Amino acid sequence: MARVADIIQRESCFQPGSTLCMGCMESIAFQNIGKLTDNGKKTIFALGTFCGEVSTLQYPNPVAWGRGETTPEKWEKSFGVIHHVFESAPGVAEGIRDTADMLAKMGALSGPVQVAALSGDGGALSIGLRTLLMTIHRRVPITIFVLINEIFANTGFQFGPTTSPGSETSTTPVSELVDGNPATPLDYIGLTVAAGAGFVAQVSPAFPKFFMQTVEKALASSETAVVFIPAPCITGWKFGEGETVNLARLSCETGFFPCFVKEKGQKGQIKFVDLDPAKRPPIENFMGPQRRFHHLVKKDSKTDTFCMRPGKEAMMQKIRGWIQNHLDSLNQLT
Amino acid sequence: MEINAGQFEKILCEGSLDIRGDGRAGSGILLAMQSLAMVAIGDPTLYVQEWPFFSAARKGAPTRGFLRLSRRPIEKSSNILSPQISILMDEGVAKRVDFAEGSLRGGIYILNTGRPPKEVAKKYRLTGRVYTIDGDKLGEKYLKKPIGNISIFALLVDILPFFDLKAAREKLCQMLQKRRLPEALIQANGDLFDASVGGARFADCDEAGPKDHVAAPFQGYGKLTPGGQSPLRLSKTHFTSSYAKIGWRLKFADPLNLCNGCGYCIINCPENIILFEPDAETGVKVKGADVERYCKLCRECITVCPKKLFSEEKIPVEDFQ
Repeated sequence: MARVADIIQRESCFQPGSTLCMGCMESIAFQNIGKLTDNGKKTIFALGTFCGEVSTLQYPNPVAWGRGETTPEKWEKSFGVIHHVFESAPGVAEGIRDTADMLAKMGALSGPVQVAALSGDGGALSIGLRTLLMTIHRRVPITIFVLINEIFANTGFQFGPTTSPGSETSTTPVSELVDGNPATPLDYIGLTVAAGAGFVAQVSPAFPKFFMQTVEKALASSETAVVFIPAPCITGWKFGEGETVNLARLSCETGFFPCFVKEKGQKGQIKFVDLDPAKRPPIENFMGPQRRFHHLVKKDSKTDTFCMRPGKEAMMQKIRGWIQNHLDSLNQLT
Repeated sequence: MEINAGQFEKILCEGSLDIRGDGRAGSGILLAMQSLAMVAIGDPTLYVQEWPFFSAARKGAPTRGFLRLSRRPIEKSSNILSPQISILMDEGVAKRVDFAEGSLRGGIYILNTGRPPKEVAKKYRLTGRVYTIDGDKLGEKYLKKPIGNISIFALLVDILPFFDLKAAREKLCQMLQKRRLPEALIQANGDLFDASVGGARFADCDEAGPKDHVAAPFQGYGKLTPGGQSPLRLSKTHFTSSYAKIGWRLKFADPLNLCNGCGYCIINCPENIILFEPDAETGVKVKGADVERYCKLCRECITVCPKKLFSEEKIPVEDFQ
């Protein structure tokens, strides 16, 4: 295990110059993944279509991926990017893995190769759930990163399978009769564990040490590793500048996106969040700064805290119930 | 070519009136264009073509809107290369794009800025009629938000003689009602529209040299080296510091040597631009950030630094350019 202080001094293959929004969590995740993959192996990324792909590989400006001004001469510093349509990131990564193994057997490669698939939650869990589960089922030794921002941010903030209950999206608008999204999200962690993934984790760069350790373990895994990274979306969730990391931390502590790690054969572990609802920070703290929950939570000007709007007990109870069920089910995964 | 109020009709009948606007995603340039298109659709004798430049435009990225008006069916489908009316919604994007590129000599230029027309004409080297309106200030007053789209829309309706102000205001309110905005906000937008009419200053200027605003012929992107991408990096088209809020920039100050090497700013900087050097005692020592080229001013480092070493500072607009 490398120390955090050493990892942050490595050179990332994700460079500044992308056209992502200011304060985008995907960008934070990429530059840390870029540093973590600089570990002595050549890395090949397979990207499905998502925000992080269209904003970093747009033709006149594909400069975000690269290592400085010159072509890397060392094998371990070189890397490749293949981008493909929404659902195919895990599938393409599997193809890359097989080809690399074949070339290695023939002696055509001068060093080891690691393969990482990057994809958004719309691409991996809605459009491409089939590819994701089948790739896991075939036990391909790759690492799949899924960035979860709850919505189809690339196409205009439509509702997706991971959208929190009660949130307003462009396809689940709030009216007098409906309080935003009525459905509860897909249990993607349970699904990937059931499909037989060797290593499943949900991590956030808001917890740096845990993030670095978990992603290193995932990259070293001999079976399929799936890493979910909750990515607060500044434009889609509609919150102020400089709040991204705070919200990422709160999203874990309040139970919306609990940090989680499970290795094959071991019990799942929930991190940084308490199973007892009384010991968790109130969910209003997480929902308050975001305008997509504006109809449920308001700011009390007297006490300067966030509180529930009157008459919204049913939806808030539904959200609390979902969080508790989700945490309990994660805790029981074996 | 000279455009003045009386000649609009001739342009509309003989060809088309081309309007092009530059702004950044979120500054409202597209809404201003769409509102104008909606008003024009209400006039049965006008043909309208309106579309934004398709791009993966994220918040703060430069974006472009186009509008064609004509009395005859519009058969062109290319983007507008020589507009009669050029709009600059946000002075921050002028660093990245030439908003008057290819514009016709003696055309109309509309700028959303608080400065007088003569001054901006000199700065951007414009020849023609230059209008300036302080849309951000008006927006701040009525909507509590520095947004100039309604002001630009009102000014356009005002200077184009074939539009009716009263009908345009009604159309705007209808559009906002369709978006289910609260009644008070619609009223505020209406008030902003009224305040913007007649709020502009204009001057006829002649500052452009013969070679200004001539679109350079496309020469290709140069030779691409795999991995290095040096020509693109050196072309400076990817400098994202123009996404930042205009007039502000990030500041790092550590006079008391407080940096404890926790690395939170390095880990949580989306652009990976925090400058540091290795330190024997604490691991790393932060020295600042690459503010000039890439900082989008997302304020993440200001929030996460436990010692509060980062802050934002105001810079003069001239300096920013």
